[in-house]
Amino acid sequence: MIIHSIHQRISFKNSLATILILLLIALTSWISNKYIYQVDISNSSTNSLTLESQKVIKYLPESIDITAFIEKGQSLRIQIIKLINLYKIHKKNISLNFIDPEEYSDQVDADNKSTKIVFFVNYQNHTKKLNYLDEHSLTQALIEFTNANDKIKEVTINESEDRVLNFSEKQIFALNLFYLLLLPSVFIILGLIIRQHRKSK
Amino acid sequence: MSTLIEVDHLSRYFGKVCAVNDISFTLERGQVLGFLGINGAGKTTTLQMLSGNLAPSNGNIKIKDFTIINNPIQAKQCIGYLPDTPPLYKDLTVTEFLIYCAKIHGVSKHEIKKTLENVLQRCALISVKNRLISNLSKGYQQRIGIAQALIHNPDIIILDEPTVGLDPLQIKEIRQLIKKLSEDHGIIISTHNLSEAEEVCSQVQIIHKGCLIVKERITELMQSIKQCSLLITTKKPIDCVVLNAIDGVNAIEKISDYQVKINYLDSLDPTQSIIQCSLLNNWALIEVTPIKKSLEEIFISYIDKEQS
Amino acid sequence: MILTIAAQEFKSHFISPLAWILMAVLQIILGYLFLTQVETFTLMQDKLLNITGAPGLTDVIITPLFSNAGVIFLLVTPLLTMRVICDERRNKTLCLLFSAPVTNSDIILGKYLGTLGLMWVIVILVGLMPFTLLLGGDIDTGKFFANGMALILLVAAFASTGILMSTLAEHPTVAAISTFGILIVLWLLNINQTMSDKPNELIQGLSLLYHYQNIQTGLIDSRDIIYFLLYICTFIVLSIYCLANQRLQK
Repeated sequence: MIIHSIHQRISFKNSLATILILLLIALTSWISNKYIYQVDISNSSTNSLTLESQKVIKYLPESIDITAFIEKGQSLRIQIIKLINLYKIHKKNISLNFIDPEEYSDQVDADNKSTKIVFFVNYQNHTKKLNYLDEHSLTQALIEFTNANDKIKEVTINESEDRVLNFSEKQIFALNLFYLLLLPSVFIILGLIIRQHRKSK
Repeated sequence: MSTLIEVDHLSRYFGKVCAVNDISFTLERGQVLGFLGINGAGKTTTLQMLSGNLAPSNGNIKIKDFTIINNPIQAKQCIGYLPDTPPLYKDLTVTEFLIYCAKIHGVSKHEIKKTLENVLQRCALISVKNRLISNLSKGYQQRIGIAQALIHNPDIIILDEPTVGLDPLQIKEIRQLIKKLSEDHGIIISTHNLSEAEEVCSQVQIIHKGCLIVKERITELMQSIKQCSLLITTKKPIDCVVLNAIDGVNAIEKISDYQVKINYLDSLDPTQSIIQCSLLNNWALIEVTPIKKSLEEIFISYIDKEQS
Repeated sequence: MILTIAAQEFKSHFISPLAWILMAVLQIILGYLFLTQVETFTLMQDKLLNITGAPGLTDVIITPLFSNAGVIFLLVTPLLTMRVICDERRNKTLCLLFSAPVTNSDIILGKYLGTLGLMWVIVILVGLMPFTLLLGGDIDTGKFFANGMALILLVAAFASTGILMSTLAEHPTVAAISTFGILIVLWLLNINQTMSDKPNELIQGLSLLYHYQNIQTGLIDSRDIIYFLLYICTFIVLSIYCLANQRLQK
């Protein structure tokens, strides 16, 4: 294309600048996936491993393999992935495999056929079977693999602290009144006053 | 006198259609430049390019020391522009709107009040300054449009058909305002009304199909378009034979018993003789009108002149 | 210059009854949703106390409130942003800004921030409601701030899409419908991904809802924040480009 007029030249320049900026944005998004920074700002750190769990996995230098028998399409799978990801922040060599029990029914114990969901945690040559997997049970299982003398006896997990709400009937009624009646009417009245005031000018 | 605008071989194409074709002109301080042309001649396109609303296809526009393509911000600072439809926020009051205009044109905070007063007074808007724009009449809205173009005290004022749709009294007021402004600004106005150009402009450019066909001082233009003919109206019947005897009369065209059209020689204006003659013959003369060409006729005559 | 345009845009909402009526309606809707959550929690809090790892007050009341607010904004944003540039062009008032000594980016950013201002006022209204919970209990302030930040970013992202559509469309209705279309697609993009254990990272990465929910948990991830910032940048840059092109009028 031969650009012979000024407005076409400006248009071409604009397009070029925009494409460059969009490329820069794409590049930034690519870089942002390489260097990740995370911080848990919730008060009780419910999104992070407890210090105890972190300590336990420090005692386990070798790789940990977890096999989970969960049916395909279960939302539990995602929860498990999220849980293992928390451990992965502190320990790189943890692997997680999903197996659909329908397809590999022979690998599951006959006893467990009814529940179907089962987990195997493997460290070096030891394997531990769990029927339920959360931070509490997994850390408990990992403790048993450690040889350390100062074994942690009791595992606790981070719990949200905001668990009580004491509202009397009266208070709830007052809140209802305030949010559903008082505040909206104030807005509407203000709006109408301003409209009336300006229309009359 | 300083040169405010220098336009050099300006053209604009919309696709293949050429709206403005190779226009060059300059504007000096104190001048009122009239852009004359019928609808669709390219007046608005030219003014849009001058005001930075539209990028040109070719050519160069220099506003004072800045070219509008390379330094649009500085160039626009020197221009006040009123488009064909006044750009008004109708849900604001006049004062609110003008203050906003002043702010976006970079008028400093402590000067706003002063310039606002000044502009309100110039455009005779003081009586309506606290009214809502949507409640005002078209004439006032047009004046607010002009006020908006003046608010930052620009050197150049560009008005696109400022008197369209107004009643005669308002037109008169706005023309007076333009004359007053021309004392210390350079003004460009566009119009399709010849008499308006005659009244306010010092210099006229006629634009036709995107081309500049005439560029003259207004007095010269009026001279050149004078068509040597008179229209005479009387109360009593006119005797054509008597008229024909007057020196300089070339041809007589009888419209009715009481009205004739006289063509005369350019060198000899018979107006005085005709008036005396009518007195002698007791025709009870009512009106002697020199016939002017309409804008279209001027175009045709100029185009013919160019072609021959 | 940006702030002048923004202030004018912001004011224009409040001198018309629009902003006030909108605030009243949203207050009723979100207030109702909030109070239902409060009631649900007061009914089941005794049971929750005995479960380890059970959700707290913040998880049951505040997080759903902000999720609902997100959906409400999805519906409201197109209506707020549709007129921004589009109406100016139709009323021929855009000419005022074009002939003023301001750049295209000043115009877009000013208009954007002005509209965003109104939306952030509503976000503050939403954000003030959880404070009444302090009368009867404690809230997880960290999670609360995460929710607030998530909504602020989400609304900013919504508005940027609205501005682009308003710049492109000839008619405000068209702008509103197309904004709504784009937002709902990006919102629901990962809906079929949540069920599979190997989600497509690209599709998930593009979804507004996915990143919004990530921030809501209180775990601030640089990727989620950067996603929103880049999203806003992309749409703003495109809007500026479109406005500049319209000025050239091929």
